[in-house]
Amino acid sequence: MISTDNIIRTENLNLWYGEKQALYDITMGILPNKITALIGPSGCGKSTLIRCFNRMNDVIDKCKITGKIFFYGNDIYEPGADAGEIRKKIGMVFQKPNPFPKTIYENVAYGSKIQGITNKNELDNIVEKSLKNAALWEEVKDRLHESAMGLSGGQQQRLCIARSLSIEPEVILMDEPCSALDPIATAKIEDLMSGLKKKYTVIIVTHNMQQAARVSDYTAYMYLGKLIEFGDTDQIFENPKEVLTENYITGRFG
Amino acid sequence: MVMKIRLPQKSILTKKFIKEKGMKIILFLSAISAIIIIFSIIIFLFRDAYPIFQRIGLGPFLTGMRWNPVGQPPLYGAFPLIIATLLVTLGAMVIAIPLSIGSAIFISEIATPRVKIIIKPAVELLAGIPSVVFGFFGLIVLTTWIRISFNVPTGETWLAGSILLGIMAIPTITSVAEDAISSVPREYKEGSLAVGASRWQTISKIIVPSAMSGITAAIILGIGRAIGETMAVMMVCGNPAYGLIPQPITNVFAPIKTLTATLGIEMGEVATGSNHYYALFGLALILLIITLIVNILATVILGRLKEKQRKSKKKKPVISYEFGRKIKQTFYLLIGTIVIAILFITVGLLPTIGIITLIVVIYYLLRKISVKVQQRLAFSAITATIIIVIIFLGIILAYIVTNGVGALSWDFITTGPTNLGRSGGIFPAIIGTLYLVAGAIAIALPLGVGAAVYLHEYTKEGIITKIIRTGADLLNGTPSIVFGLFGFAFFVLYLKLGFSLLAGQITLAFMILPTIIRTTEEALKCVPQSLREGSYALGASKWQTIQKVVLPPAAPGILTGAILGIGRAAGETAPILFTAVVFSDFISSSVLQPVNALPYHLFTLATSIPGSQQNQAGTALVLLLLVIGIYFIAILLRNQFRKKMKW
Amino acid sequence: MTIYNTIEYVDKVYISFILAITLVIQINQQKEKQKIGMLLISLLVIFILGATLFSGCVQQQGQQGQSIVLIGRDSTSGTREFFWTFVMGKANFSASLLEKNSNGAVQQTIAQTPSAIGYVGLGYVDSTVKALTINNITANVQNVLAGAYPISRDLYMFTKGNSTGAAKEFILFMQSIEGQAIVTQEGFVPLQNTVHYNVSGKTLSGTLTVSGSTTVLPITDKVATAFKALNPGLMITVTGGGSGAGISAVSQGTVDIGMSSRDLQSSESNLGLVKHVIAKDGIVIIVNPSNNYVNNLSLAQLKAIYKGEITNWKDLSK
Ligand SMILES: Nc1ncnc2c1ncn2[C@@H]1O[C@H](COP(=O)(O)OP(=O)(O)OP(=O)(O)O)[C@@H](O)[C@H]1O
Ligand SMILES: [Mg+2]
Repeated sequence: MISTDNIIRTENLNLWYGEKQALYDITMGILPNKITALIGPSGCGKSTLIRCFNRMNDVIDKCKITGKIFFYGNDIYEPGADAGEIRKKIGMVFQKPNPFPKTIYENVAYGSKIQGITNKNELDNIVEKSLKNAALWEEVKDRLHESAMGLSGGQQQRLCIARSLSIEPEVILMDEPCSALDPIATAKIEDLMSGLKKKYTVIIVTHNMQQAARVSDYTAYMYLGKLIEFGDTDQIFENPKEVLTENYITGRFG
Repeated sequence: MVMKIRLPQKSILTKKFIKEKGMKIILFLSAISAIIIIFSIIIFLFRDAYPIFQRIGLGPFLTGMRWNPVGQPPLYGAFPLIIATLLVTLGAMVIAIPLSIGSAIFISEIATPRVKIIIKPAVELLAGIPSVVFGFFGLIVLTTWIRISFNVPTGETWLAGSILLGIMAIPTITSVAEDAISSVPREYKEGSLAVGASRWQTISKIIVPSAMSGITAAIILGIGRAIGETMAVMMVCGNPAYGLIPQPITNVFAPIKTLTATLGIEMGEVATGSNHYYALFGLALILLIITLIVNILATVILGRLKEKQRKSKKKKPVISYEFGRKIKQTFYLLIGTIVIAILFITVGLLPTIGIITLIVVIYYLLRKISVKVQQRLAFSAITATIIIVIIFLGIILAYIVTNGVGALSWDFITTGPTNLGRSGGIFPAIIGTLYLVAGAIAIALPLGVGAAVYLHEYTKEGIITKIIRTGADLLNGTPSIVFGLFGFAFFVLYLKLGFSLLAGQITLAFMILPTIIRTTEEALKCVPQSLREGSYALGASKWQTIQKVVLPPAAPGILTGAILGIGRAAGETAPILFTAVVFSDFISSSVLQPVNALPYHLFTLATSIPGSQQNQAGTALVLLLLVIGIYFIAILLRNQFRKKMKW
Repeated sequence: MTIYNTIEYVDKVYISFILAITLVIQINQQKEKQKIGMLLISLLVIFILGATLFSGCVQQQGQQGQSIVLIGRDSTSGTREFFWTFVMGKANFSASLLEKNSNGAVQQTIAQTPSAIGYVGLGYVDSTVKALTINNITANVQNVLAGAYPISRDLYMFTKGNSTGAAKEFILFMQSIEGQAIVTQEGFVPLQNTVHYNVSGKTLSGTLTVSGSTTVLPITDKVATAFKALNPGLMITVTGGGSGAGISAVSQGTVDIGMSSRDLQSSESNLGLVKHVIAKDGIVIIVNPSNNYVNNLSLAQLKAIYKGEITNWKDLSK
């Protein structure tokens, strides 16, 4: 979907973990205010790719990257670029809910606090708004100052979503956000995503074919580190161009 | 890996049954040995301390202000010695805590893998330097430096002791704190980075707070080490008569006399059975109790931590958030007031106001500075701590190597000393050390491995394992001089072994037992459960499985533990000081004869034989090479082992 | 401590500021540089204040380098007991006395510390320290022998019951002209009216173990070498450990002879030990060679110093 509207675009992205190459020549564009799903068999590099978008791979020592990733036309890997600034604009929700061992309030307020916001009213507002956006407010409003570790898995994941919404990013990356959740919690988060689309651009990794078909506007299929096919979700699921894609979607894979 | 497993034969089933039971009993006995030892230590110390409590009373003993056992009348006041011990430890912590925490953060969060691979063993090597070598360095270099730089009459001071102890505590605190920081889940870190936090913000706001209880335990363990240290403190603190608390109490340039130093100095010549002798055991008992408390505290905190990691689940806070915040605020307010009050009393009004304004200004300036620059400042400060630690290591090593290398020669290590060690070599001391270490490991290894096997293979986690582990932890925290006194009271006098190789070997064995238990347990943990199940599935019995399937892959890990134990035993002086060693030039021909040992030889040369400088440095170098060599092998082995252990 | 000393401290940590300044230079944004500069200046001021505070907490050192550092032996040492009884008249030592656990340690500390004073056995005096005269009498073997030098004592060997066999011969050898020659050689004071050692027809064999006082150790070590030359079949082991350790070892029968620089204490009197005087020792008062304040002390002055009544070298010249 390369177009001038792209909010994120990669060009010839290659990535190595030490000697081992994990991504090959990925060129793709993400459109704003849409949900883009990444699907593919385990180990094909979905997480690796999504973690490139907010430079989360910087954490891994032996990771090496060539090629370019543009965010609004600026290369996020160019030498002067500030990873922190980029991550403020491109939020992330992880596969396993990862709240900090702090209170619910502190979890959501953390992002704003490190940006230097100290005014209590302002923080209260941010926390309330983010929790409401993450459809968690009603459940936790009376226990904001209890430990986030006491929440259920689905609640924790929505808390993490609230945490990433709290700093008002433009893009939200979600790496299998529902894999640890039961169907009800999953449904809640799927609802949430459709709502988020109005304000945010969402990129989601999922193993759940139905989920991808239900929520996403565009779908990318990856295999062994390569981008095999990328297009309209309907088109990918109804008449895939590539045999590999078709095999995977119809479950004839492997 | 290919495993040979013999299938059981029916005919020997009953024999096998007996063997299994017998093995279990033997292992159980080795497992409780740590507890038996710690209890025997307490009992024997108490037995020999009791007469003094009886004669002068526990109260007067603890609160008496003067320690003058040979005066007229003799005075047995332990109070100043206790205070001195606490002061020296406090000073040591002021030095060690920032440096160690900084180093731990550097190693786990900042260093690139390549830097880490060099720095981490370097810090660990610091742990390998025997305390008598630290003392030797302190006595000659540090005290002179303090005397000249601060223009004080003598450099043998509280400050010298604190600096030396601080350096010695660094590796303990660093490695435990580093473990704690490294085991903070990566998810927390990623969660923080994902909302745009800088690395420093992530470290300071998420990682370090999450690791706080581990860091606290590290500090407490460091305190325990510092309180129990003998040789180095004894050599550099000056040891004023009667104990004497510094005047004023903040005077770091005052000489000071700790519990351990008093024991180290006076135990050697005291008349057995005199009041003075009993009083020294009273001091040892106090010392043991202090370290026991400190270690139990660390064990409890670390235990809680483990439980938290296992459960990590809901628990209603005992106090409400608002109330908790109020308590916190009041607490900070209180601390602030106290600090200001102290400032005000000691320096007067104007400087106090000045300092407070400056702190406020700095606080606001720091907040104004961009996140990037904050990070750079913080990382520079952290890097500075590790550089300081490495510089310490470098200075000590450089001093000993440059001074000692001149003495090294083939003759030096193969001939005996002449002219009281001023000339000639150190062959008997080397042999003596080897004898001591060999005996210690021969006793401790089977006991330790047996205990670990029992703990890990024969019992479920429960009250028994908890007690045994606590016993081992306490033994691990027991000051080496306490082992020495126990050895003297029990082996030398009670069992009538006399000053002998055997007494020294057993005493050292007791001291290194916990190290071996712990490392063996770690090694057993790394053997995957599936291997055991595979063996049981083939009908092998428990002991057969352990013998044939579990122990072989754990062998490198056990070996590492044994080597660490050897290194510790080779470098220790205090436990053998009153049980085995004499300054001599002969090689024992039986385990009932006394021996000479490298650390003791160095101690004697450094403190008693003027004009032996060349051979002092030579002995220090040989000892250092020996111990560091041993540790180095252990570190290499461990790294090798870790690589292989990824199943 | 005056402000000048404080500034001297500042001098000593310049290096850290140089490091900090390199840090500032690293930072290339102009605005940040100013802020950091201010930060550093405030740190500097805090540091100076801190140093003043620190020096306020530290004892006033008086005239630097001139306050006396008292060095003595640990409370279980025979030498100390003798000094305490003979020089101090059993009066308490000053509380600022620093205790060392051997003669060598005392000597070494004095050699390292310009304003220190200490006492050691005659054998420990060498060029690294300056020996003081007492009542204008030099501490040397002749003066001790003649009874002119006031501070001297006996050195002992103890056996369990009357000595027999090798132990008896060894002590006889030690007390003979041959043994006492070694005593003299080692810088100690020999016994008087000694006779030649009678080399009996057959040489001794077996083992002989001696342990105890570190003061006596150097003599015994040398004498043992000479005695072994006479009796090649005899295996002698000489070890230190301290007077108390030697006495307890011999009373338990773990060694044949215990060396001691002190007589038996009351708690040791019923152990069945027999005392043999084997030499005399003069206690020498030593100071650092750079000490220009004294060359001679009276016993009264010495006592006053060790009682803590005279704490500054300057006060001695008054
Ligand atoms: N930190 C790492 N070090 C080395 N190799 C890695 C690392 N992380 C991932 N890999 C490798 O890179 C490849 C892609 O991994 P990635 O996690 O991106 O797959 P994925 O598509 O997200 O799989 P899954 O659906 O199972 O999460 C895999 O072969 C994996 O083994
Ligand atoms: Mg993945």
